[in-house]
Amino acid sequence: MGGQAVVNFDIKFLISNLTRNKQVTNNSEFAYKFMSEPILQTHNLSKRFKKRFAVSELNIEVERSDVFGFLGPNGAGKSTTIRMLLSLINPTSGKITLFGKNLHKHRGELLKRIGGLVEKPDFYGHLSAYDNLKFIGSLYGGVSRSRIEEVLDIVKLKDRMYDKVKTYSHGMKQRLGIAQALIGNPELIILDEPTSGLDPQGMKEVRELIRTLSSEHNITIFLSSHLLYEIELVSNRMAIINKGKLVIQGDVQELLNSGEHRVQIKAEPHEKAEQVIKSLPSVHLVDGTENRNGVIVVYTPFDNIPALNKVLVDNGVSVSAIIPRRSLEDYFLEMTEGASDV
Amino acid sequence: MFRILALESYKIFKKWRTYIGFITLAVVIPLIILAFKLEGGNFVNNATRNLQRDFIFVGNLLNAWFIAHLIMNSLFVHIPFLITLVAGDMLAGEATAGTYRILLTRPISRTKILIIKYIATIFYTTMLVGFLAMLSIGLGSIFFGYGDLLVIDREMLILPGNEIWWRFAVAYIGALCGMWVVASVAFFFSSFVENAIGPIIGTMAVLIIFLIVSELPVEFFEPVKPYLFTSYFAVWRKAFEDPINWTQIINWIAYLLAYCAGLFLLTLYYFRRKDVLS
Repeated sequence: MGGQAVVNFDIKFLISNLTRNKQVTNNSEFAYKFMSEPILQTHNLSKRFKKRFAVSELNIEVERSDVFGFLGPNGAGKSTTIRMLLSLINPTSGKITLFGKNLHKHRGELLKRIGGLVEKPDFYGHLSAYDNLKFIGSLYGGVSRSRIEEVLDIVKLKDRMYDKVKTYSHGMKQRLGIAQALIGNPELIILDEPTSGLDPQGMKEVRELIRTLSSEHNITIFLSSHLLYEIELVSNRMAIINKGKLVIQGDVQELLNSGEHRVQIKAEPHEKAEQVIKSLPSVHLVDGTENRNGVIVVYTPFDNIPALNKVLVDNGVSVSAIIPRRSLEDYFLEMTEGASDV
Repeated sequence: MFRILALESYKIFKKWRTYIGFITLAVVIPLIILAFKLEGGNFVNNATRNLQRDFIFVGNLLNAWFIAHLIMNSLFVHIPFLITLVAGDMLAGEATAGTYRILLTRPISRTKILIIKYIATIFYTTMLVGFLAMLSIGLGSIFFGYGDLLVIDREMLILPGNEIWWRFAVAYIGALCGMWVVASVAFFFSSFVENAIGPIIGTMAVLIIFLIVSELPVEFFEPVKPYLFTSYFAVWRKAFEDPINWTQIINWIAYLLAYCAGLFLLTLYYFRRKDVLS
C-alpha cells in the first residue's frame, strides 16, 4: 500500500486541509525563514483589470537555486503574475524585486539575467529555429552561433535548427520555448505551464529538462502549473495562489506532508467500519456516493493511517485496502462539477 | 540597434505578404506600359488634339517621363492599400502570432523596439515607392525612351527634358512623405489590436473619408481640410508646376512629416503603457 508511492492529489484538497489545520495564514501573517538569497520577491503585488483583481497583494519569495513551483487552478492569476514578472503588464500596485533591485527601475539590466516562457511558445513560424534564436539573441546585444547551437543542443533540437518553426510539433515548440529562455545565459528562468498541451512523453522530457537546467546548469527556475503532481516531481519550494491571492508558500515536502490526507478505506462490514471511524476524533468521515460501493472516504493526517488500520482491525473490521488518494483526476472532476471554492 | 533593425527587416522580407505590393506593381506597371505601347500614340493625340490646330508638337512626347507621371497619377490612390498590408501587421502581427511575449520580455526597452519597428515600416514604404519609381521610369525608358514631359492637369504644360530629373526626384520625395503618413496611421492602429485586419481596414477607412472630405469642393469642409493629411497628398504634383512654389512644397512636406512624428509619438505613448495580454 505504501503511502510514499502516492504522488497525485489535488490542489483544492491540499488547500482545504491546510485551512482546516489553521496552517494557512494570510500574506502579512505568513513568515518564512530563508536559508539563502532571495532573487525574486513580490511585495503586495496587485493587478486590477477594470473592477476585477486578477492578482491581489501577492507576496512571494524565490531563493537562488530553487525550482519554485507556482500553483493554482486555471484563472488563479498565475499567468498575470508571470506577465508582471516579465514586464509584459504593469502592476496596479506593489513592486517586484529581482536580484535585490526594483524591476520597474532596472528593467533592462534585470531582464538580461532572466529568461521566460509565457503560456504557449509562439515564434516567427516563417523563420527557422536558428533565425528565431538569432533574432532573440540580438535583443540581448547579440549571441554567437555556438551559443545558439548550444541551447538547441540542450533542448535536443540542433538537428532541426534550420527547419521553419511552423513545421515543428507542439512539443518541439515547447522545447524551443525553453531554448529561447536560455539564450541570454539567465540565472533565473520563468516558465509558465511549460508542459501544457504535451503528451505524457513530452511532459516527461520537459520535466527532465527542467531538472537538468537546475542541477547541471545551476539555474533558478520559477515554474507555474495547475498540475500539482508536476510541481511535486520537480520543485523544492512552491506557492499556491487562488483567486489572485497567495494561499500558502513553502517547502514542497513539508507542505505535502502536512495536513490531512484523503484516504479511501475498503473494509467489511463497512457499516461497522463507519461506526468505528465516527468515534475517532482525528478522522473526519466524508459523506459521499463512494460509500455505496463499500469504499469509505475519510480525512486524516498521514501519520494516523497505521493507527486507524489497527483500530479498525481491533474492532473486528476486515480491512482489505487503505489508499491515501490524491489524484489529479479528482481535482478536475471537482472543478468541472463546480465544487466550492477554496 | 542596427543589428536588430537588420533582423527586423529580414523578418519582414521573409514574409509572403511583404511581396504582395511588389508583385502587384510588377504586374500592373508592365500592363500599363504594354497598353501605352499599343495605343499610347492615340492617347497623346487625343490629349493634344485641340492644341494641334495652333501648335506643332515635335519630339517624343510619349516617353518614360510621361508614363511615370501618368502611373503616379493613377496608382497613387492605390499604393496605400499595399502599404497598409505590411504596416498594419507590424505590431498587430506580433500580437496575433503571440511573439510580443518573446519581444517584450527582453532587455531592450519598448521605446527602442517601437523605433526599430517604425524604421522598418518606413523602410518598407520607401522600398515600395522606390520600386514604383524604378519600374515605371526604368521600363518606360526601355520602351519609350526619354523626352520632354507633357503634363496634363488643370492646364497643359510641357516641361523640358533637362529639368525633369530633379522634378521627379522632388515629386517622389513628396509622394513618399504622403505614403509615410499612411504607414504611420496603419502603424498607430496596429498598436491597439491583436489582428492586422483591423489596422488595414481602419487605415483605409480613414484614408477614404479624409480623401473624400479633402477633395470635395464644399465650403462646409473647408475649415477641416488643413487638418487632414490627405489635403497634402498632392504635394508631388506641385513639382510639375511652372513656376514651382517651393514654399508650398516645403510646407506641405513639413506638414506630412509632422503627421508622421505625431502619430509615432501617440503610438509610443500607448505602446509603452500597453499591457500585453496576447
